[in-house]
Amino acid sequence: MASNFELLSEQGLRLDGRRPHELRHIKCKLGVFEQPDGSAYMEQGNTKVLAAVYGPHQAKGKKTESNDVIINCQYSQATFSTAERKNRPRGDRKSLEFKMYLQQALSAAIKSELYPRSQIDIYVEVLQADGANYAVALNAATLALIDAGICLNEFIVACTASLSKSNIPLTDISHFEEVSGGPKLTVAALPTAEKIAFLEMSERFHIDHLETVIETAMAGCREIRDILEAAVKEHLLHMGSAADWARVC
Amino acid sequence: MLRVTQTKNSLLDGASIAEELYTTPKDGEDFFESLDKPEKEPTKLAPRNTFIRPGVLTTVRGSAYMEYGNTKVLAIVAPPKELIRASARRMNMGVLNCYVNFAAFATGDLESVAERERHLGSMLTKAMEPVVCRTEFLNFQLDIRVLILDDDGCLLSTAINCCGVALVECGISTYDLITASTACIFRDHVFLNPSAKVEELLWKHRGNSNTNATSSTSSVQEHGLIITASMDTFEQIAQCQQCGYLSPATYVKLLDYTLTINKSLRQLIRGVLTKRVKEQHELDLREKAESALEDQRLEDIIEKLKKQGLDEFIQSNIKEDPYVKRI
Amino acid sequence: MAYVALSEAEKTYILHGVEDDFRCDGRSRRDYRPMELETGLVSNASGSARLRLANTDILVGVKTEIDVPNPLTPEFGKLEFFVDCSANATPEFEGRGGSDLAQELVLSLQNAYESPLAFDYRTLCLIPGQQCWKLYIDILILECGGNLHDAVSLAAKAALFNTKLPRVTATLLDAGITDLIISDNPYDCTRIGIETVPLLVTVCKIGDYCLVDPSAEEEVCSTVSVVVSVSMRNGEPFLSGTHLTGGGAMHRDTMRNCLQLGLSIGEHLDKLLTKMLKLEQERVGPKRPKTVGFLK
Repeated sequence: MASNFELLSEQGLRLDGRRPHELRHIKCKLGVFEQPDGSAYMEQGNTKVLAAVYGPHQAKGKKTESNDVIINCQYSQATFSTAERKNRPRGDRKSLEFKMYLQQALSAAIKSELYPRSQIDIYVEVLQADGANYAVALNAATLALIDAGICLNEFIVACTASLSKSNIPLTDISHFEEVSGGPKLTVAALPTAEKIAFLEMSERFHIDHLETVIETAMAGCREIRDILEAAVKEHLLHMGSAADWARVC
Repeated sequence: MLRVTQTKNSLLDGASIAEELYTTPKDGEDFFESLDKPEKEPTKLAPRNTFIRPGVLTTVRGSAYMEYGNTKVLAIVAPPKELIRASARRMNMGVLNCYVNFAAFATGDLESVAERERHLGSMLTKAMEPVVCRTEFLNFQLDIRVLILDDDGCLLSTAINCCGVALVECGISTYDLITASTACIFRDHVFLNPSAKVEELLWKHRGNSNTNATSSTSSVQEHGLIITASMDTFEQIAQCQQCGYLSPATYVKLLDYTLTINKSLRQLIRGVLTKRVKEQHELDLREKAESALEDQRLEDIIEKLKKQGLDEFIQSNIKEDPYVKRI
Repeated sequence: MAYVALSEAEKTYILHGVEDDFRCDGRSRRDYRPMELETGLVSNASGSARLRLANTDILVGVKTEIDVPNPLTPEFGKLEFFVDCSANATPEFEGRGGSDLAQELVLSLQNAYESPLAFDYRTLCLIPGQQCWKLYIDILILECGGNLHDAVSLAAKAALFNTKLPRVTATLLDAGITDLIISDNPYDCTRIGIETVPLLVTVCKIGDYCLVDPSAEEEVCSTVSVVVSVSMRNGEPFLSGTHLTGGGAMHRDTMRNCLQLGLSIGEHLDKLLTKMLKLEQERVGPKRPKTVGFLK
């Protein structure tokens, strides 16, 4: 793919017809499975992710010594999730890297002081990969944690951003835009507190643009946060409506 | 050059593909023609020359060596030991693990060996699980190791037989004696205890088995292989692995053949084990006699000592050093 | 396997239920739990299916690749199974924890699909002796609620039904080299015949009775089960790979009964599945389907 590929058309539309600041269509659902303590499904465009949370439970193995909560993540990608078949669902460098990033971002959100000497398992399964895998995985994990009833400081959401040739920042980039050679910036943030928990960037652009790109990603985060919050409310309304307590206020 | 990377079906043990890179589908036809085919309904059991020897190794508690025709297998059972993996623990049962290994010279096909070993191991585990009283070693694991020295068909069934003997030799409590055998059907010919060549034919040339069947779809040419492990005191089937394509009637027919072979094999293995026990008993007797002799000798000495008193005993036992000159 | 701990009393309760032909969830011994099936929901795969059998959740994706056929079977394509036990199902599967179970399932499936009568490998042939399709059937286990063998085989069959192979035309170049042209049109595709594709039916023995579709709790109570692989050919059931599992033994006559039960259930199941797949195909139609997926 040529690196000087233009991501924006003359009309100011992206390859999939979105405007620069537009997110992909987000659909999500909490409580997809029975067995885990919390589970969630998240669809962002064509990227589809399942997340499951087990715990908090007693820490296993040698990790019991420390007094803190152990956040154990696993990131795996189904073998049929990408256009080219993957040989292994997990254990490769990329998934180990993502696993670390997930741990890092989530430990910023979980109220760890409430769970001493315990362990929380978060398993993420990417069913279909179409760009921004890490961001969607993290969003799904957040929903699953909420479904499991684990105390969080705040929603932790992630969003990606890029910069087109004409220096217009783009939100939530797809796989095609990712491989077209533009820069990619991933931000995991606590939007209300306006804190950034994790930031990663590939490729390069001039430092003058950094602030605008981060601000674009943060705007994306805020927007996703609103969607997730609506989903959680919807879910609780649905769950609680049997006893009719959710509609009291 | 074309290179075969297709993995073998480990149920059809015999095949070793890499040795013959240049075989064509026609070779199979030729071989099938040259084969003296058994009758459609076999009446004889087609036994092979069998040699079983329990306790071949002195360093492990339970070991057995078995030759079944040209198939040669060595099985080793170590006494149960504590579970290594706590996650493998089961509620009220011990864990049984079987490992199968090919001797380096037993196979020419190196690529798929590791996978075949794993497949055979898992199938062997399934066959051996019902026979071992696993309730007796809760929280322990029992490891059975099998070394394949030579492979001429009926590999899994021979391994099962051999493991059964090794288990008894080790003194692990079992519910019954386990025996196993193989039968297969290929172009309406039933082969009992098929050799490696027949098994290879069945697997490699499966493509040609129904060249006619495609035109006349009403007649389906069955082909398939059955490995049955049974415990005959209560006529229990411990494992029955089938592959290929069989009608239910043929399946039951083959099952019955293998069960009959198992019964005759059971007689043989029982004989071997009884002999082994007798032999062991004799060995024990001899050992006892020897130790009794030794005891007797010591007793004599003590008796002498008592009679003579210490000084005299020492004097009588002093022998002159021939190299020291007496002054 | 996801392990369920049951007390003796619970086991006895299940056992008595089976004896009275009235199981814990109200089924008889020959009944299946409700199933949900959807095809074509993974757009990156050539074919896909998701099956939910009560609490068992399976997602299957079929990927295609062009390969060289085995010289001994020049007219045959290739199949490869891969099972991944997702840690979403149970934390025991984290890392390589599910590999034993995965291997067992792969072995059963491989064995069942091995015969050319069970799966017509000829439809995967492009140029005999030179090029063939290789299908990767990737199975993802998302939740374990018992009876994995049946669920996996049903989902695999549905995914194969959904698989679309792009139409390939070959042109002969100089020196006998052939060049493959793969159609760009996503609607110009061939499908795979699934009439004879086998289904696995687990017949589980609890107490003195045999039953089908055991739940996870019932699996714990059972001493032994027979996995019967049923392939329908010309309206008659055939066996294409059967084995015992569960660490117990059974009498020959019990075995025959189990086979009979498995075969009749398999026949019925096959009919229903084919019917449902036809309906699903009509629902989806030629247009891009609107998938429900996990959002139900």
